[in-house]
Amino acid sequence: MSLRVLVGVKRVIDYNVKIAVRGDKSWVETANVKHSVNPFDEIAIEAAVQAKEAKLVGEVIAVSCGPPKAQESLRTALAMGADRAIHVEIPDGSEKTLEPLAVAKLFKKIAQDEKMLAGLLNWPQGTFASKIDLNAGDKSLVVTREIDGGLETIKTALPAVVTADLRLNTPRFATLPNIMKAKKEAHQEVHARRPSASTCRRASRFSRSRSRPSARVVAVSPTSTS
Amino acid sequence: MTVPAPLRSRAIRLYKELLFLGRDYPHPQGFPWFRARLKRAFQGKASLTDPVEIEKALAHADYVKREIEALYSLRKYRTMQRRYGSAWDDTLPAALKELHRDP
Repeated sequence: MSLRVLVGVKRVIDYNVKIAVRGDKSWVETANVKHSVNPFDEIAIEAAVQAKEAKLVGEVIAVSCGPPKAQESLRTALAMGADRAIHVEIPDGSEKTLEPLAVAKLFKKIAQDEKMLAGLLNWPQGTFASKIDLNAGDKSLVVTREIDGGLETIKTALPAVVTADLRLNTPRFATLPNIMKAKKEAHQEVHARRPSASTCRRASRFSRSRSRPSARVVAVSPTSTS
Repeated sequence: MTVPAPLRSRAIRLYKELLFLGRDYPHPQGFPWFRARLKRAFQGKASLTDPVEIEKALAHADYVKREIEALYSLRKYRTMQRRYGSAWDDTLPAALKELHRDP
């Protein structure tokens, strides 16, 4: 009976690149532009891998929802220490219309398929975590959060959703040997099923939920049904 | 060449790793410049045969590798901090605030 961590990873335009808008104003210029893993996702992976190295967590699973090229981000996650990677593949180009709600439902589905005790995703959450203390013994999580005006410490039960703040840690580098090893590992591929497509359409009718940029998802939950 | 095999393979591995890291090196002439310098640095030591000397050169290469990693880390997270830093940073002492200041 061990804890598992589900980490969301996204392939985004590299932080160093000057964003240019396309001539026809349809989107930003993405062709031939350097992409990399979202820095906050790297922080989240690092937190998960550190927990695994401290033997608090059994398995780290990286998930990415995106076009075929998203596999690069998953390989980076594997090279940093994730055990498995799940790629939810969506057609090239449609990632622009992927709404946060659709992604959240995707995560919920994956969590359920992994036979975790999730049920509805009514899990407690610790967002903007700058420090996480995992207590696998009594299945609780103490999260120190960064809020306007200082720090807040909360204690939650597991399973829980945690999002990473910049101050959580400094991610390790995915070194070349690890990346080579990750390339050889096969990862699970899931094609976006109809539920996701319909949630995409439905979600666009809601007012866009303002997901603050400094939040990335790390979901923590136990596996067995004890 | 009387260089023992393990030392040689370590040297080759370090070269490859440095080459990999150098892809994003911040220099106006970019990667070609980095690659030329890396090659020159390694070729300069190619004639070493004394294991002690070789170990020292390998340690230096490892040091450079870690320096580059630290450089990338610092730049990335300083930029992130500037972009997404919070109001809480105003409570930091002046020296730390310098790091987080918006350019």
